[in-house]
Amino acid sequence: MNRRYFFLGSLGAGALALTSSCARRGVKLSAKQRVSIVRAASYTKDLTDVIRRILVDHCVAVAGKRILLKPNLVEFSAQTPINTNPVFVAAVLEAFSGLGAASVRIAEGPGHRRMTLDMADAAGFFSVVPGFEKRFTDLNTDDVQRVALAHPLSKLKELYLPNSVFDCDLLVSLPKMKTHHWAGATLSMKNLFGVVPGSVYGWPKNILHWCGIDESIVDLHYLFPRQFAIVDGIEAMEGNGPILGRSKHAGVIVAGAHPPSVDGTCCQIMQIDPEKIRYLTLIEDNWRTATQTGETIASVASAFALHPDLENLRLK
Amino acid sequence: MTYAEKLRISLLSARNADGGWPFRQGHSWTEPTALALLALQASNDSGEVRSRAAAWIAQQQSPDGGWPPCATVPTSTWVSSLALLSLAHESAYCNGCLKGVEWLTCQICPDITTLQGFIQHRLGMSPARAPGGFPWFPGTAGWVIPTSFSILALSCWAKRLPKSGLPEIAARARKYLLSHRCADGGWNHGGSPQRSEASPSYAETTGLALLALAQCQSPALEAPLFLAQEFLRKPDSPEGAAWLLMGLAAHGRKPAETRPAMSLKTTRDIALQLIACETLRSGHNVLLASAA
Repeated sequence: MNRRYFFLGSLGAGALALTSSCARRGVKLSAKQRVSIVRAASYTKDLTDVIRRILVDHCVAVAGKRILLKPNLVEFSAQTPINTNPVFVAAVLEAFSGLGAASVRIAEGPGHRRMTLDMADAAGFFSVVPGFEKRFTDLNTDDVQRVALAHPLSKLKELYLPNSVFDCDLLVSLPKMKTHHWAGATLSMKNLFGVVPGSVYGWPKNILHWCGIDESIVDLHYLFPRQFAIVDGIEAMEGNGPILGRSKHAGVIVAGAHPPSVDGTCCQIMQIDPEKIRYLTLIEDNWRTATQTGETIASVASAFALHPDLENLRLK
Repeated sequence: MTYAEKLRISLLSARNADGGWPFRQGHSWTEPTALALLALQASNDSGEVRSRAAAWIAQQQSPDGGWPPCATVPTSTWVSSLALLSLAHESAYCNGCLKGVEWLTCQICPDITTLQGFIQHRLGMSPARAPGGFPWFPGTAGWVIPTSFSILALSCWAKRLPKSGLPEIAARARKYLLSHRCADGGWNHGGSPQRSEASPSYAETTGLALLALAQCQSPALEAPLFLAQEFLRKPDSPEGAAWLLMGLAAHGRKPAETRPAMSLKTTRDIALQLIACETLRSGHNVLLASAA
C-alpha cells in the first residue's frame, strides 16, 4: 500500500469521514471509472479493514442498503484456488455490515455441479463465514422473474433471473482473478454468469454459449446498473483456468464501481491485453479511460501463464 | 423409527400447500416435485399427498406436451423427462403423457455430418449438439444429466409403447453417454474435452449415468463401476451418494446402505436418499420400473 492510499484510507474511518472526504475529492475521485489497486499478501483478518477502506474511498452508499455479495463458487479442489476465498468473502461481509448495511446476503449459482451447499461446505464457506447457511441463496434454485432485454448484443431476448438479484440495492461481484481457456480472463463481468439459474437453463447455462458468450456477458452487465466489484487476486489462478489452472500469487485486490474498468485493469495486471478480451471490446462504456488509485498497474503486474492457444492475448 | 420413515417425514414437512415441492423454500418446481413423487412411489405411499403431487405435476404440462421447470417459465425443458418418469406410475395420468413422450423424443440432438463435426471441434464447440445427447434447454447442446434422465424416461415408456421407436432413441442416447466419459472413466457434466482433457468425473453424474446404462452390458463400464465404488467410500454430497448407490445396484453391485455423513439440505437430497434407501431394501428401483 502506498502512502497516498494509506492516507485516503485513514480518512475514511467512518461514515462521517466518508461523506466529508468524498465531498473534498469532488468529481474526479468519485468518477465511476476509478479503480482501486491494493496489495494484500494473504487472507488475514486485516482484510476487513482493507475492504472497508476501499468502500469508503469509493464513497459507496452502504448505510441502510441491502447488499448482495456474489462470489465465484464453481467447483472445489484442495489443490487449486478455483473459488473466491471464503475468508475474503467473510471480510467483505464484515466490512459492509460495519458500514451500516441493512442486510448483507450471499448468493451464487454454480455452473457445473448442482449440490451448491455441499460445494460451499467443502470450500470452507460454512466454517469461515458467520451464519453462512442463513445468509446464502442458491441462485440456481431461487424463484425467478422474467426480464426482457431491450437491446441485447446476444441472441437473448429475455432471461428468467432469480428474484434475489433484484431484491437488493447493490450487487457486489466478488470474482476470483483467473485466466479462462476460452474467454481469456474471467473477472467481475463474467462472474455474473452465476446469476443465471440452472433450474431454468441447466448446468452449465448452455443457452449463454449458444447466444454468444461474450455478448451475453455484456447483456448481463447492463441488466445490473448498481454494481460494485471487488476482485480476489490474492491467490489467483493462471494457466488452464477457470478450473484446471494452477495457483498464482498475485497479492492484490482490485475494486471499483465500474466492472468493465475493474476487469480492464485486472487484465493489465495479469499482462493480458484487454483490447483482445472480446467482451471488453463489445462494451460501450469507456473503460479505457479508467484511472487507477492506490498501487500502479506496473507495480503489481505479473504475467499470468496462459493456455498455449491463447498466447496471442499477451500484453505487449 | 426407520431411516426411511424419517426421510419420508422430512419430505412431507418440506411440501408446499399447493401439493408441490420447492427446491428448498419458495414456490413449487417441477423437478423437486417429480422427485418427491418418485420417492413416495418407491416407499409404496398411496395417500393423498401422493395423489396431490401427481395432480400438481399433471397440471403443469404445457400444450406442447412438455413440462416447464416452474409456473413462471413458459418453456418446456429437460424436467419433462422427470415428469414423465413420475407420472408413468400414476395410471390416471398416463394417457396425457403420450404427448409428453413425443415432445421428449424431438429433443434428441440429431446426427451431424463429418464437416459439421470438424467445424464444431475447431471452434471448440464439441460436444455441442453431439448426436444422441439431450439438452437442458431446447435447442442447445446435449449434456450428461438430461441425457441420463431422458434414457430413464424413454426406457420406462418404451415398455408401454412397444412400436414407438423409443428403444432406438434410448440406444442412441446410451451411445452418447458412453462416448462422453472423462479420462478417469466416469462422467462429469459432459463438457468439451478440448482444453479440459484432465477434467475429473463427479460422483453424482457417474452414479446417474451408470443407472441410465442399467441395460448396457459393456466392458467399458468396468472403469466407471470401479470409480463409483471409490467415490462411495467418501462421497462429497448426499446427492452423489444416492446416485452412486443406485448406479451400482443397477449393475448388480451390492453396496451396503450408506447414510451420508452430511446433512440433507434440499428436497432433492431427501427424495433421492429415500429412493436409494428403498432401492436397496426392495431390490427394485422406481426409476427403472416399467410404466403403470
